[in-house]
Amino acid sequence: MRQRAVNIALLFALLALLAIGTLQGGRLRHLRESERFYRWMDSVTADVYLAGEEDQGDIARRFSAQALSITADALASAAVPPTPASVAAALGSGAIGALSRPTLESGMPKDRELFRQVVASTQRALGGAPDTPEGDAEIVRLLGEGDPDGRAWALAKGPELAGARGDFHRYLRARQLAFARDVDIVEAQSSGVNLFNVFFGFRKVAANFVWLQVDKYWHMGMTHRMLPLMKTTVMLDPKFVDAYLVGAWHLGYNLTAGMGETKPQDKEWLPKHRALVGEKEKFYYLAVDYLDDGIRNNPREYKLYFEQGFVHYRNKIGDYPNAIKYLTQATRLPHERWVPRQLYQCLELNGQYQEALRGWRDYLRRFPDNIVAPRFIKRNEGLLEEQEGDRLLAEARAAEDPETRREKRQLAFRAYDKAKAIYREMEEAFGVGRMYRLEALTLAEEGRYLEAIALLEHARWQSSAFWEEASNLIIEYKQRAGIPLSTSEKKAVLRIQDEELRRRTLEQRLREESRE
Amino acid sequence: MSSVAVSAGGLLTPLRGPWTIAWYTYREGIRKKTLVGFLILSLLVIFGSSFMGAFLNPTTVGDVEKDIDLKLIKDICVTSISIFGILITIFVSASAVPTELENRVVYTILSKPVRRFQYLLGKFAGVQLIVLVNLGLMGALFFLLLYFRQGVMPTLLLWSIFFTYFEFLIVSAFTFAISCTATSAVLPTIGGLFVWITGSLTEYLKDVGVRSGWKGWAGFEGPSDLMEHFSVEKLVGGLAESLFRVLPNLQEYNLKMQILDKPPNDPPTIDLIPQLIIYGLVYAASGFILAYLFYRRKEI
Repeated sequence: MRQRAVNIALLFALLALLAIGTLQGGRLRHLRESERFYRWMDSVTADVYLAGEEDQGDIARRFSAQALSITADALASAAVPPTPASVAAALGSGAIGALSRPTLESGMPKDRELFRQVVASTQRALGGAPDTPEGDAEIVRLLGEGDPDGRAWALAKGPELAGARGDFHRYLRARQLAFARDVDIVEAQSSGVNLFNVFFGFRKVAANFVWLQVDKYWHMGMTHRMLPLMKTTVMLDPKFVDAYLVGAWHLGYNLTAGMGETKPQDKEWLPKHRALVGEKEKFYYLAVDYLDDGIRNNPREYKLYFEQGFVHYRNKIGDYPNAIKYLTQATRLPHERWVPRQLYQCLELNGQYQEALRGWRDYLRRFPDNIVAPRFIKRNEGLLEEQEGDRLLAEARAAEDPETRREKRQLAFRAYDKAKAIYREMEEAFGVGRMYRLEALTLAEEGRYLEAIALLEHARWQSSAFWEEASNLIIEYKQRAGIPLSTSEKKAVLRIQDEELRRRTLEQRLREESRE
Repeated sequence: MSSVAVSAGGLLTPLRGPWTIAWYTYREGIRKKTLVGFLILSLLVIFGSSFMGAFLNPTTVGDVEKDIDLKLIKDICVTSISIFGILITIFVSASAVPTELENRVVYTILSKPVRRFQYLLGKFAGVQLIVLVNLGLMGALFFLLLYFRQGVMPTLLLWSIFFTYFEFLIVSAFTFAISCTATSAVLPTIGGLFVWITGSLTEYLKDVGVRSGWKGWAGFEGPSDLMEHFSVEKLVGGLAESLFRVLPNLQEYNLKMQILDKPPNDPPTIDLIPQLIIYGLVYAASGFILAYLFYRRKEI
């Protein structure tokens, strides 16, 4: 009798423990589901910040494999190893977008629609205006800074976002989200039973071995075999940040090293990036896509933003606004000391001297031992004065009243004098080049074109940074003075005209696209 | 003062027996050749992982080469600890009780003033001691490898190893329960592997529930919904979902891999850690009570 009572008591204890386990499991499931939702929000936030306001169609276009028709696997199966040029030609129609594309069952991803819902709900919860634009929302700010105090996480798991969370999981099961693309989330949860979950660790180990193979192919010169394996590596392990970094470096630098420039008239329109591209540029954008993929999977990894901004957009493509965007995001996350320095240099290259100056001053305050910052502060102070002088001179030229014209000119030359004084203090080639520019400008304003041209001819050999600007000024002054151009200068003029034609074509394409 | 000592001693007396059994189980367990074989193999794999970087050719992109080398070590080590650790856990948990039945040691022990509960507690504690020592050895080697490679204390790794133990604890408890019904170690070993594989696939029971269109027990809308709600397909879905909720889900312990990729102060990870510990302890206790229930009914 006593035995039976003990057995029943034990059975009850077992059932009670299983009930507690079930409840605890429920709590864990809630946290895990909230975590997936949180990671998705993180990923979309990075995209909101980087891509700005765009509609669902834009996302669909970015994620559609249609824009590029051949796959990287097709390259791998080629009987004869293709040359870099033929790889580029093939990629032109295909593999740029084919590296890692999710299959969306509905065709149109629901990410932005759902994110707007999240923004409205969080604004209500935080007491802000519910119709705040996505980019200005508090949740975007919190996640963009890496959620240091866990407020975004509290919202993601809390009752405020219960509706959006439910919708997220519904869309996830229906494979309608483009930004929740980690294999263990999308494939293991939305598809049938597989053993991936049991051997979760093996997947990462497999990714490492595939990567060793990529490395081997690179050193064997078999670049055509690298691309599909690079895709496989990051599919197996979307958190393999170094694979994204090295892979993009191969695409942007190593594969393009032996390629020539494409003539402007031979460049093709790349709708996804809205750019006219030659063979080299196709690889640059392939690298950009590859890194963007990495950013979507690892939105809190500053290295990816830095690499994208500095190495690809700044150094390779020369797209400074985009470089600034990515580098700014890199500085919002925990980063190394050199990251802000590259951002300020890009700001300077983009003509944002005021912002660059503010940045460098702040940098010097934080790192007083830095020897580069004082130089760049001077440089931007000078450029700011120069910019002010240029603005006043342009106003003086446009002014009809002679008195105003005289006054503006005086002010402009006063600004130039200030800039010259700063450059003189700098005692470096950059300052020398800028001083020559101002001297030449003064001479040209007085109609002394021959002297200005002679000065510029000398100046461009003094500062490499001034070479292009000096050469352009020489052409401008020669044209103004009616002096015949040299052969190379005539070629340069034709090149500028080609660029102008290219720009017009680009604008025309953009207009056609927006009408569609 | 002396009365306090006496009462404390009185409280500890029931634990003295289990502790002796646990210590004996541990000493006997670490002598097993199969176990030592698994351990040596795992240590070789962990040590060998540090040479994987030699297959990488030097690159010029900053510290990337070093980072990839570290990643190789981390992934291989965590996976091998997980695989060899679970094999050691299953093997030890499955053989602890049946071996003593086979060589009749259990009769000698139970003839002493030791209750069955104390005996089982001692055996279970001994098994955990073996698992912890093995995990500690593998973890220590991994820790040292990483420490010497990266030059900083890999604290996240300690969390990773800690979680691995709780996964082992659940598998160990249920394997131990199966072993209490068996007379040889073969069936519990197969049962333990089954526990591990099904525990890792529990997530799919949810998928079965969702695909069947099961709306939950509360989703029944009255007599008109009777045929629709309780169709065979949906009942199977309902059963699968109920099992999903009750059975331990080892997939939750994937955090041990994910934690190595995440920043140190990741808010969801901080929230998940204590919940996972409680989860592991609750299911381990369930497994142990189940084992005791089986063992009570056993005729020895």
